[in-house]
Amino acid sequence: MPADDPFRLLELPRRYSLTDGEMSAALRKAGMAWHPDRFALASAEERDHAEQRMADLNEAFEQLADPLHRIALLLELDAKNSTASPAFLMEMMEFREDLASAQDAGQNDKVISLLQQLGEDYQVRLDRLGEAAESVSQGQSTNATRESLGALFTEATYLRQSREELARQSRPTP
Amino acid sequence: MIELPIYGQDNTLPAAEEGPILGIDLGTTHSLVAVFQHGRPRVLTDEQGDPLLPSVVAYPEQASHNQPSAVGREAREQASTNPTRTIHSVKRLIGRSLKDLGHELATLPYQLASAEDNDGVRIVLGDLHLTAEEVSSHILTACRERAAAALKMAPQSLQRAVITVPAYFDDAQRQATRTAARLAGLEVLRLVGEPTAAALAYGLDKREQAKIVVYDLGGGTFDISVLELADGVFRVLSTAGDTHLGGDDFDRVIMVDCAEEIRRLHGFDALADPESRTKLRQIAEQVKKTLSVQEETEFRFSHAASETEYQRKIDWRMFQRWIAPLVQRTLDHTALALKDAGLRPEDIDEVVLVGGSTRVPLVKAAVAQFFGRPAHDELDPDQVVALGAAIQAGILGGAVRDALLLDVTPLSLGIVTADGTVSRVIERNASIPAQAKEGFTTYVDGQTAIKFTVVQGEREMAADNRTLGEFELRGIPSMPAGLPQVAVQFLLDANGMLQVKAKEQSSGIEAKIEIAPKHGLTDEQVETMLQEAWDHADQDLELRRRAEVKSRLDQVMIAVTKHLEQAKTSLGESEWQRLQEAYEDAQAIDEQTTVEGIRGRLDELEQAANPLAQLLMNDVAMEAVRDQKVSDLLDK
Repeated sequence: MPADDPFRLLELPRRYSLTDGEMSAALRKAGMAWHPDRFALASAEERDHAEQRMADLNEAFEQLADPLHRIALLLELDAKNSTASPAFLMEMMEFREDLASAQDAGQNDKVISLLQQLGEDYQVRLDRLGEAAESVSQGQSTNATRESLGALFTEATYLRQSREELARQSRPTP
Repeated sequence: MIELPIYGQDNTLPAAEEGPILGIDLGTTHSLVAVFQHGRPRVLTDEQGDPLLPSVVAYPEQASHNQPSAVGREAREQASTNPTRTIHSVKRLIGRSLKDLGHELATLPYQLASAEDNDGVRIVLGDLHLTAEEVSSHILTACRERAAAALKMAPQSLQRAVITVPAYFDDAQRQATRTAARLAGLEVLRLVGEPTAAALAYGLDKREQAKIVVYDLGGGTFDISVLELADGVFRVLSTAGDTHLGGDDFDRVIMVDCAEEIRRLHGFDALADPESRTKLRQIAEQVKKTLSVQEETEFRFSHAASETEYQRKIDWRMFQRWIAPLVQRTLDHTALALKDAGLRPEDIDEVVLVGGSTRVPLVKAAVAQFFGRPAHDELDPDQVVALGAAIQAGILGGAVRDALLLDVTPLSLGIVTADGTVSRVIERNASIPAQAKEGFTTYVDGQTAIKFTVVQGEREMAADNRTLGEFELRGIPSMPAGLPQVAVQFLLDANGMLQVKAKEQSSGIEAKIEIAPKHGLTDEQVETMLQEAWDHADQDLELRRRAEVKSRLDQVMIAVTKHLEQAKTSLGESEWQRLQEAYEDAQAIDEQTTVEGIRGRLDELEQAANPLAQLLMNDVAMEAVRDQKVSDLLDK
């Protein structure tokens, strides 16, 4: 476990199934003790320390609030070290082609349903990864292999990035 | 009378007991100062119990440097006799360049210039060139003096403050506000957004989740802010408003309608006569205030020279009809702010009223109707923001342990890359303090230095964002392009100040800067101003005391002049003679007269004018004026 483990910083259990409420309550509790406002009249050294500590806490919160990041921490996965399955890559190539032709043809309904599909594909992978992460965090083993989890994780990461990118592009230009 | 502060003396006095942290609402029309004491926030008043300190500063005729002759109420009172050297609403100028101000320039009664070496504006009063920071510092100094008097402490024991700023203030405006505080000898522990302070005053931070609207209708400005509170963190979702809409406009509509009738009935154009105009505006303001608590009142105006005797009953229905279009404008802005935030009126959980003009019943009712719920008006709307500032002061001072104001950065921060685009490092709305690390490398073989430009803003191209600062990492070992690994760390602290560190991994060389925006005064300029103030401290004190007494005397003289005719016919022989002599003595004052000399003549004139004041008092309701000064009465 790394020294700056976000779960430990926020004194939260190493679990996938943390609620938003649990996480923000943890940040608030830590903030009550560590926020620089609590050290406004302390020495410059203590104040700097509090600034750094609170910045660490805010960063830890951002990481845990992201379910994919939580999975990466619990399953010790890294998108860089895993590869997506060849089938997935084929699927994505087809998806891109479909999307481009729908956009060219001005078929808005088709574009919307393709983007929805992308979101659903992401959610399916996130749920499966989440299940595995929850099992591991409760000390149970998963029946999935590391390779398959790694592939799922890479795919989920890719799907999310694509979705965000496409959402940005399809935003009306001012 | 406000005792005038002196710069630079702080260091010469023995270390005083450290006083409380001040919470200051530095407003466009007026400012307030509050502290957190005995478990609650409290606004400090002047000797007369007035919590409002007009944000008005006056400068003497032949000023060689920047010391004011009057600040606050006194400056406002002498404004009509010294209009060209009296500065109102300096908050509109702080941290702004001539370019920023644009059409606002036309509305200002004084001239502005821009110095060569920076783009902050200068207010030009003859030979005297003032920065908005300096003028603001004089208001802050008056706040500090007021607090010292109210707390019975030495001013130099009050050195730390929380100051509120509008939610939409950008980095330059915030930085300029900090500089103003520094010039006033105050360390700013935190700048807090005005709507956030208002929410804090109402204890809304205790809620888990809420969408909050702060409706702030002041004397001359209207601000509407939509805040989101989630788990104790306030985020500003949107702001809108009108920098030229406020209670002064309410006064104006009353004034204009009555002036129109006076012209019709008496053939006298009161608006064209500056003195009558001032009088009309004062009466209109009083009518407005009365109509907030009474159903009807009377507008009474008389002007001897034109034999105008005007009297009119005004009830709240008339007033309501006059101001309805103005109130509608505030609601239009409110709708706009909600639209920007992607919310409907029914999504809002709490509505907070701020600003004296929200006392007007129509305003209160219109806001309640718009949101379909009553708005918070339990606290004095003039004091809400200052009370919030005092609570934050209590948090910082350790007196408040159960509250914490968590803030976010309003704009993204990034680094300019080789192709002129921005690599965003800290996203907007990130909780602060925030940190981020980003890797960079060289793009030319053998490159030994990398220049980093830090920008603030949401635009993709660097040129469209505001540049906060630049720094260079030198001494990178000569390597092929792309090999050096430079880690850049951003740390944005709880005050929104940015520290950037860059480190090249293989050589371990480092560079770092604290980012202070380029806009505004440089450190050297601030030091020079502080040094000048120090050098002139004694001379300043004398000058300011003199100016203060002189302006008081001028007021009494003007008041007496107005009623000379009546005095001659109605006063007894000896009383008339005494008044005449005192008046002539006062007229004889010149540059050589000492402060004591002026004060003596002021006392004599006030006493000599007393019988005249008694006479005039018969016309006025005794109850209302019992505690007023002679000159106030003569003004009537």
